[in-house]
Amino acid sequence: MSKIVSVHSFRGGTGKSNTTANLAALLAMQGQRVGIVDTDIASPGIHVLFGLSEEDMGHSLNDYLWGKCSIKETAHDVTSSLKTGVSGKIYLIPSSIKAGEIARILRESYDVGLLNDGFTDLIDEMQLDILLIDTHPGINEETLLSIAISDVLLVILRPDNQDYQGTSVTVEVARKLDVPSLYLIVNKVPHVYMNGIGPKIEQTYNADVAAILPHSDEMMALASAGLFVAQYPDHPITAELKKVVARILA
Amino acid sequence: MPTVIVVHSFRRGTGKTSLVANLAALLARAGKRVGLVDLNIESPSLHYAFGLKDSAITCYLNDVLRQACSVEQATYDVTTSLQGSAPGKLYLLPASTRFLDISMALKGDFDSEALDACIPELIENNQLDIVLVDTRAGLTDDTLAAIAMTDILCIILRPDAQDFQGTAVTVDLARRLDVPRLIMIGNLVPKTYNLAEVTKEIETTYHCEVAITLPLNPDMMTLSSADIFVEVNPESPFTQELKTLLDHLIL
Ligand SMILES: Nc1ncnc2c1ncn2[C@@H]1O[C@H](COP(=O)(O)OP(=O)(O)OP(=O)(O)O)[C@@H](O)[C@H]1O
Ligand SMILES: Nc1ncnc2c1ncn2[C@@H]1O[C@H](COP(=O)(O)OP(=O)(O)O)[C@@H](O)[C@H]1O
Ligand SMILES: [Mg+2]
Ligand SMILES: [Mg+2]
Repeated sequence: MSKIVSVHSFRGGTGKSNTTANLAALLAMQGQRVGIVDTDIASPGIHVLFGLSEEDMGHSLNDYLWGKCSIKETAHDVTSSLKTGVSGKIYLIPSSIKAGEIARILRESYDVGLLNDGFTDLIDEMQLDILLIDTHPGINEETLLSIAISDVLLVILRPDNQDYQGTSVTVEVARKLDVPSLYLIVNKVPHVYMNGIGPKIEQTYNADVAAILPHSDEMMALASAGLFVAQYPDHPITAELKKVVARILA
Repeated sequence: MPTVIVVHSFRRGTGKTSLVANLAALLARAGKRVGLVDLNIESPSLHYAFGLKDSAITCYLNDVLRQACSVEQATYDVTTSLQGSAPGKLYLLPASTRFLDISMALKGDFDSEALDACIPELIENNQLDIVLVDTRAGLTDDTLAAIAMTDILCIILRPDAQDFQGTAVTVDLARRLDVPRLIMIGNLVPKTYNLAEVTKEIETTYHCEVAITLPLNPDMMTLSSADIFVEVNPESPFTQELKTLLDHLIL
């Protein structure tokens, strides 16, 4: 049985793309065949973590949504970016980084149903175990769709007031849409707050916290230039992300 | 001639709103009459920086753009949010945080003519010297409209590989739109980095003027969202840096 996992946050810059990419890496290390779709079409970026440059991009999600190609043709095998050999696979469906294409898809909008079909076809054709969706922050039509079809929803938040209200709305929406499993991931937690933050957040949102990730200078210094879990296999962040993997696979 | 400055970034959370709020405070302290426009219709927050509560707002920029109210009705004098008295003035056009308004703004066609008409009116009504426009990340119609009409475009980025690649898209577009003056600003640089090297990297990547590169300031991160850093810390070196930036912008 394959699973669709959406990674969402109400605000931007919370760490969705870094978390998604690193979860994919850990899943592939465990032998899973993983797909990632970058649905953040207004400011895409997860391809950077896999070292995929603009020139290598070929077909993107935009081309599929415009009917220019099949979803399979947009899937880039980025497994080798892990350097060490792994038994699983990672296929990335990037979103276009060309100015004209971004502006066009935002202006003309697209058929959200087609996106849904694309997810299903991708799982079938690439024989995926897990499909990760890196979403656009906030609540809009595409996000609602990806939340509605998810088996697992991971909501990332930072421990600050600006995130609070929006995150509550997201959690509420997910409940109304009956998402089977909903987990919170607290990211960029200052070291002084690490103690006791888990139970506090669980109580605030009445939802399970799957991981608490400290603010990390190593992560900042890596600056999206690679996969953290591959470079720091023994770091506390890697250990926490493994807990999330266990929840996804449960 | 009043100057319009648009502050933008390709990615989110780069520090646009913080920069706009801090520059506005410094400008008002320097005696300028400043207009503020929150064009981040997706996640508006500029009014919070000036302690303006939603309950105190009756008309938003959203209403102006859909011709449901006048520019004057949606303009809020937030000068008193500064400590003590300032010789200048701050007039803010806030964007709506209501869920329905946001979905409507994101769905509907953006009326760039309405924006083009709105800013001169704001200037005229309040005899402004300068207007700062806060935007949302990404290449959306509303941002394109703002870029097309600005005198100065400030693009902010962090020293992150995703920022570097995405920002190329915005710079390319700004050049095609013939922005009179394009300025890059590095922000949120971790303490392990050398600021001058980051500046150089931005310069060589985009062949643009880099006005300043700002460090990640831990005191700014823990500041509550209703406080403006330069107001709370007038003597801090970070405040001095922002003043330098201001000189750079308005000279
Ligand atoms: N130089 C800095 N040092 C430390 N913290 C900073 C700095 N600049 C901004 N911040 C903090 O970073 C966070 C994001 O800043 P801000 O809200 O201004 O970004 P933004 O670009 O407006 O985000 P959005 O794209 O969501 O509108 C805030 O908590 C702010 O206080
Ligand atoms: N735990 C962390 N500690 C320090 N920096 C982090 C952490 N998580 C993410 N970051 C940094 O935050 C920035 C935004 O992360 P990203 O994954 O692109 O977020 P999003 O996809 O939500 O916009 C990146 O520069 C990343 O390196
Ligand atoms: Mg992202
Ligand atoms: Mg902002």
